[in-house]
Amino acid sequence: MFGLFRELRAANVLGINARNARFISPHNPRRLFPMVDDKLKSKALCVEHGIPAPALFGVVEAHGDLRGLPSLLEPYREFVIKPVRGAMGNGVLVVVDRDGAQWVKSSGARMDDAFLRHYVSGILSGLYSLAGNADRAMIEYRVQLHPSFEKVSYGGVPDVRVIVFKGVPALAMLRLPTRRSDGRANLHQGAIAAGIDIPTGVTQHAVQSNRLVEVHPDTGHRVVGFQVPAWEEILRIAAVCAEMTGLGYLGVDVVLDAQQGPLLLELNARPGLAIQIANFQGLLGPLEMLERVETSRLDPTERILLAKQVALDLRRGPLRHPAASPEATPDREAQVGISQVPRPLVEPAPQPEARQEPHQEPPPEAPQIEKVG
Amino acid sequence: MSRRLIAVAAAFALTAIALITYKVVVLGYELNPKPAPDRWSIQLEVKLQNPAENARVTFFLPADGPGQRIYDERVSAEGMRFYIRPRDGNRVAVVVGRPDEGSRLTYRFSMQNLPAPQALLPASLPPLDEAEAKQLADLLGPEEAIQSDAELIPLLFEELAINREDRVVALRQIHEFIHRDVVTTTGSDGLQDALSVLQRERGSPHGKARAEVALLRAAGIPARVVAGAPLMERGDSEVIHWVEARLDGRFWTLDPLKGLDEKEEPRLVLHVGDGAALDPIGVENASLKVSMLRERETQFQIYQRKIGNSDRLLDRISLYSLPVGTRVLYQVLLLIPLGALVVAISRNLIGIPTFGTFMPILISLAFRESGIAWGMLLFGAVVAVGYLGRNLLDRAQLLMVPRLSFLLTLVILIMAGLMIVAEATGYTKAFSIAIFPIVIITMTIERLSIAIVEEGARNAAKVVAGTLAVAIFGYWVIANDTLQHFVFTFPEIHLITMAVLLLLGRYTGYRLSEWTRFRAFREGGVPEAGS
Repeated sequence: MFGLFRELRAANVLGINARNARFISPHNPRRLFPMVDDKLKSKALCVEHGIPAPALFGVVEAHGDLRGLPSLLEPYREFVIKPVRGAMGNGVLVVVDRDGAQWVKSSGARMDDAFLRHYVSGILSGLYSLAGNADRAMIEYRVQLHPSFEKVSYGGVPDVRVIVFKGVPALAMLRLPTRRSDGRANLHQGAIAAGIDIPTGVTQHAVQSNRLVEVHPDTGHRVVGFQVPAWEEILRIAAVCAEMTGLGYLGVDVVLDAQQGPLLLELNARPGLAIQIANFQGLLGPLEMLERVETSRLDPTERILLAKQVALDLRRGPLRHPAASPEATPDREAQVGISQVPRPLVEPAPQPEARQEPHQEPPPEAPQIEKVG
Repeated sequence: MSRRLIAVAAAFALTAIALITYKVVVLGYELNPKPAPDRWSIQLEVKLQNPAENARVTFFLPADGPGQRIYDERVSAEGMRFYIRPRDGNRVAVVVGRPDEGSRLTYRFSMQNLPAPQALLPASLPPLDEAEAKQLADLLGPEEAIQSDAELIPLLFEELAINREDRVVALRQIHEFIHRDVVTTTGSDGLQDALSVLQRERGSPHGKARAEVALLRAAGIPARVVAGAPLMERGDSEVIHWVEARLDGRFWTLDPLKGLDEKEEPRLVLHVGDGAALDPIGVENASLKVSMLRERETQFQIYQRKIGNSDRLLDRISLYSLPVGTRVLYQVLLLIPLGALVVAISRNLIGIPTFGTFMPILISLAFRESGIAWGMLLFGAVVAVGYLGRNLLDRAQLLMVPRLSFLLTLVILIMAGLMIVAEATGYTKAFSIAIFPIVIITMTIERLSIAIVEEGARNAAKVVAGTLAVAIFGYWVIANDTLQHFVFTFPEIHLITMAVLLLLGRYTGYRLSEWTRFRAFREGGVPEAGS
């Protein structure tokens, strides 16, 4: 529009209109939306496809079931209640402990059974669901903070958002709760968003409320250069979720549990665009490359490989010869179609040490990068 | 953007342009309608004080004339007998008896003003010849209060050097004298007959008019006094008098209070001649009040007449054939697509966040009725009070549907309260808030409360501001009378609306808001905290 957006276009920034018209509407058939909008359906799919997810303790289907709520919660000390069709983490109630007849919220506030019943009734009435339609409430396992996040998270559990296009992870970020976000991983409320380097799983850039940050304001530890644990497993979950749902453009939210490792938390058929600011990288770069690649016959491992290739290509320009990649042998690479990855618009200066280390040196204490294959 | 879509959009737009062109060029519809001839609703009310059993009141009724057409006459004279009689080229109402307790004597009518084309006085005219003078003798001779035969007048003519050889020059000189040299008073300075006014060189407007007629007649120019009322937008008017002089086969209006070159305002002519406007017999006191309201003959009536007589298909399928109630509804309905277009542009091109998709249009529609300032005020008040109520209600932990219903009741009560205040203070325009979609206000309050809790007050305030901003844009479109007329006359314009929406639907460029949101990419980096 009048050259006003020339810089955004040059930076490959994806706008909402383009996201909806170019990616969501052609790649996400409407009939598949219930699979991600309905968290019970996504959970069932996860079980079917061997994707780990927080255990389901129970479902409250209707107001008539409210009487059974105390006995349903009887065996548990801590759990999460959320609407089955909620969006953007709305309506999620985290119970961290029980104290006699009282329940303890993550903030330390106490609630009695009556309050809990009122809350669940609000969910059932559709208070938190997208169109205000009647909803169900699900009660599930409360994820335990993974020890490696203790230094970069305040009051809640971080999650990883991966944007997956045509089954290939395109961009990822780590959302870190802060005091300001009240322990929620919600960027609007002041959580930190740290862009993750796809090949390595190391955070490379972090923002809080559109301001650059290097260290966590509450813990004082660095949030840039942080190695996300179990990164390869997170990428695998993201890649498998895409084929499991059939959605071509998908946001996959993964949490890390102290015991169980990565668990699929939520899927999103209309993932937001803030991830671009977190990474300081436009989504159109990877998306336009992947648009021209046939990925339907690749298995998840191959798609993760492709994701890393794309990320490296975007950072450094194209590989001079695909065979130079140690991760892929020439015949294999023909099979996965990496040679179809188009050349970036900008031809970079030749760099002898191309495609080895990530741009950002991981800190020495970071664990060794896992290799694929 | 796909070519097929562009082709479809272009086809829509071309069809619309072709239809509109046909209707304008062949069928003669106006793109921008001219104002229709002006009409007034006028009421003459005669107030009687202590009328006797056999009171008899005579007053003049206006008649059709070169500058006016009178129709739709209605009389209210309960308990009295009402006759209309011709008298000296005028119509008079004769009312006999005493009005019933509490009833009024009124005569109402509609009047169409037919302004005469502006004309200039002829340059010069010789004195009237015998035959003509005989024919117009009535307008040349003296009357009781118009003493054109007074001895004073020839002396005055000498003093003023009136030209007796040219009627036009004489008329100009006489009018100049009356207009400039005779002082205008309120009428409390004595008798107001022509001679007294000329002797004093002061007089009321009526007296000056009589004096001017006397002088004109003495100079051999046929003239008469005319009584009437100036036409105005609305309100009470008083009876005024002026002069008509006959030159060159027509009457020329001469206002004794104005120069000849000054533009004359439109007037209702009540009667010609020097009779009293009101002649009450058997009444202690009587007065005549003239009040009026300007109406504009709407383009609707004109088009309705037109399509009634047409056999053209496009005339026949016109919206003007709808009955009045439906027509008013569709007048508004047909503007809603334009409001929707405003919303689409605001959201997809500009990126303004709003509560719901069409909430802003509904607010615009409400503003259209109440006016924008009142609308904003009332909307703000209802939402604010409702929000407070909602927060108090939150403590009661009600189920959602009863809570929403409670809120709905609260909103309706607040609005009812505002109505009463509006009625008491006379701001009746506020009444139109009644069409505010009440359920939607309720849902807005509910969503606003949740948005404040979940997204923070700042984000919620942004959405409220966005909704109001779009509602104001929408109001500009929806409250535009010219646009309303245009859309109702040419509903096919919405083919263009649809074409624009099709193209807008495939617009994949950035929104204006993203220029700010992603400014980091324009500035080469995210700003550091604290900067």
